Amino acid sequence: MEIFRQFAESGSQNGGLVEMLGIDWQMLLFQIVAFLVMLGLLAKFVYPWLIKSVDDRQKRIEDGLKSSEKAQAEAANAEKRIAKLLASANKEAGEIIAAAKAEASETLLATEEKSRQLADKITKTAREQIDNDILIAKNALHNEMVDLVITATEKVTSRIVTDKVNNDLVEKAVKEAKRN
Amino acid sequence: MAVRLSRRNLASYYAEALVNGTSSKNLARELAAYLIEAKRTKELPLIIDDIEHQLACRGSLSARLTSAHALNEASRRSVIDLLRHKTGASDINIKESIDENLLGGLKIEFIGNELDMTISRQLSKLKTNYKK
Amino acid sequence: MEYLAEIHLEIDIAAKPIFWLGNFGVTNAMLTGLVGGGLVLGALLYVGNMVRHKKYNRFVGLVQWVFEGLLKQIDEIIPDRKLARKITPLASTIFFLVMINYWLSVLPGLDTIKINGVPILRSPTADLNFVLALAAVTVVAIQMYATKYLGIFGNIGRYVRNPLKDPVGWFEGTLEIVGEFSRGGSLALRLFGNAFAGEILLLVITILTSYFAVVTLPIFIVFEMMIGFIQAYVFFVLTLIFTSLAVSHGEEHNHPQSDHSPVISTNAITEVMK
Repeated sequence: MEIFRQFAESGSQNGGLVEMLGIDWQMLLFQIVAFLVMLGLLAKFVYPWLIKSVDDRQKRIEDGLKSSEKAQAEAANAEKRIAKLLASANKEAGEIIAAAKAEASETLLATEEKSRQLADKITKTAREQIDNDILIAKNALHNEMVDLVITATEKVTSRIVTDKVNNDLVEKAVKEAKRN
Repeated sequence: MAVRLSRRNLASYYAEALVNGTSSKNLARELAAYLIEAKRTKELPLIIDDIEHQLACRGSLSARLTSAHALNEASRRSVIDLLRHKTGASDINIKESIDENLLGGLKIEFIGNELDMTISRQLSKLKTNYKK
Repeated sequence: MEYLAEIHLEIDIAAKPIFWLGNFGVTNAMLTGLVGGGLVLGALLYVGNMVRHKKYNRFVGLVQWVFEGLLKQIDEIIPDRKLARKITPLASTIFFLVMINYWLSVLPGLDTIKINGVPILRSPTADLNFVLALAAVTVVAIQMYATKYLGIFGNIGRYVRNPLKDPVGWFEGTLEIVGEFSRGGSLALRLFGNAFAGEILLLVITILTSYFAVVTLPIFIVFEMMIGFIQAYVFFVLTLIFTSLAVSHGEEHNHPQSDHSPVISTNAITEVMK
C-alpha cells in the first residue's frame, strides 16, 4: 500500500511523466555519446582481433577436417592399392611356388633317372667285369687243363716211345718231309 | 795293317780249301790265328756259318740230327737221302745227338734251316693251338 | 506483520542524482554505469590485446568462447557475411554491456549504501536513460544499415508508398513506421522493466525474509543473473533480427519472388517471442 502511495505522491510531486520516469535529455545524450565512444574503441581495438581469432580457429578446424578427410580417402585408396598388390603378390607367390614345386619334382625325377642310369651302368659294368673274370678264369682253367693234358701226354709218350717207335716215327716224318 | 777281309771271302777261301782236301786242323789253326790277330774273334760263329754255307754251295753239307732215341741205319740213310733231295748236296756230313725231352721224332738242323719233326714240337703246337 | 508495517521502502523509477556538477546531476545509475562500462571496456581491451599477441589464458579463452557463440548467432541470423561482420561490434557490445550492467544490480549495497539518502548502487539497465540510449542507437544504426544496403529511396520506400497505386503497400508502410517506434520502445522498456523489477524483487525478498535472507536471497540472485543474461541475449538477438528484417524487407518488396527472405530470422523471432 505504501509503495503505491509513494508512486502517486512522486508523480504528482514532479508533475511530468518524463520527469517521473527520470528521463533527462542531457543524461540521455551523455549516455548515447558514451556508448558510441565505447563502441568505437571496442570496434577498433578489440573486435577485429577477436573476429580474426574466431575465423582462424574455424579455418583451422575446417582445414583439419579437410586434411583428415583427404587422409582418410588416401588411406582408403592406399588400402585398396595394398589389397590389390597383396592379391597380385599372393598370386605370383602361388605361381612361383607351383613352378618351384614342378621344377623340384622334375629335378627329382631327372636325378632319379640319372641315378637309375648310373646304377644300371654300374651293374652292367660289374656284370661285364664278372663275366670277364669268369671268362678269364675259364680260360685259365682251360689252359691249365691243356697244360696238364700235354704234360700227361708227354709223360705217357716218353714211356711209350721206344727206339723202334722212334725210328718208325722218323721214317714217317722223313717221308712226309720229302712229299712237302 | 792287313786289309780287312769280308766274311764271304774268308768263308769262300776256307770252304775251297776244305773241298780240296786241306787238313781241317791246319785250316782251323790258321783261321784262329787270323781272327786273333785281326781281333775278330767275336765273328767266329758267323764265319763258321758262312763256311758251312759255302761248303753247301760246293756240295758239301753238314747237318745235326737230334732225337729222343738213337737212330738206326735205315733211318739215318733216309735222312741223308732227304737232305740230298732237299739241298742237292753230294757230300753230307751228319752229327747225331740225343735229347730225351723231344720224346720222339727227329730234328734236323743244317745251314740256317731247321726241320723239327719231333713229338715235343707237335705237342707244343697243340698246346699253342688249344690254349685260349 | 508489525515488522512489515514498519518497513519503509523507497522506490524510485527515476534514478536519483547523488551529486551535482553544476546543472548536471550525476545519478547513481550513471555512476554504476560508468563502473560497468569501465569493466566491460577494460576486460575487452585486455582480451583483445592478449589475442593480438597470441597469449592465451583461461579468461581470454572464456571471452573468446562467448564471442564465438555470439558470432555464430550473428552468422546464422544475418546470412550476408559482410553485413554480419559490420553489425558484430554493435551487437556484441550491447550484449556485454547489458549483461555486465544488469549483473551489477545483484551486488550487495543495493538500496543499503546511501550517500545523501540516495542509494549509490543502481543498475543502469534500470535507468530509462540508459536503455533508451541503447535502443536509440540500435534503431538509428539499423536505419543506417538499411539505407546503405537498399539505398535512400529504397529505405524510404519501405515506409512511404503511393497510396493510390498500392493501397495495401501504403498501409503496410504506415504500419512499418509505427513498428519502428514500437520496436525501439519495446527494446528499451523490456530491458528496463526486467531490470527494475528485478531490483525491487531483491529488495522485497530481503525485507520479507529478514534474517532468512541469507538463505533465500542467493537463490534470487542467481535467478537475477540468469535473467540478466537472457535479457542481454534478447536485446542482442532482436538487434540482429531487426537489422535482417530491415535489410531484407525492402528486397522482399522489390522482388516478390526473391528467396532472400530470411526464413531463419522468422523462426528466430517466433523462438524469441516465446
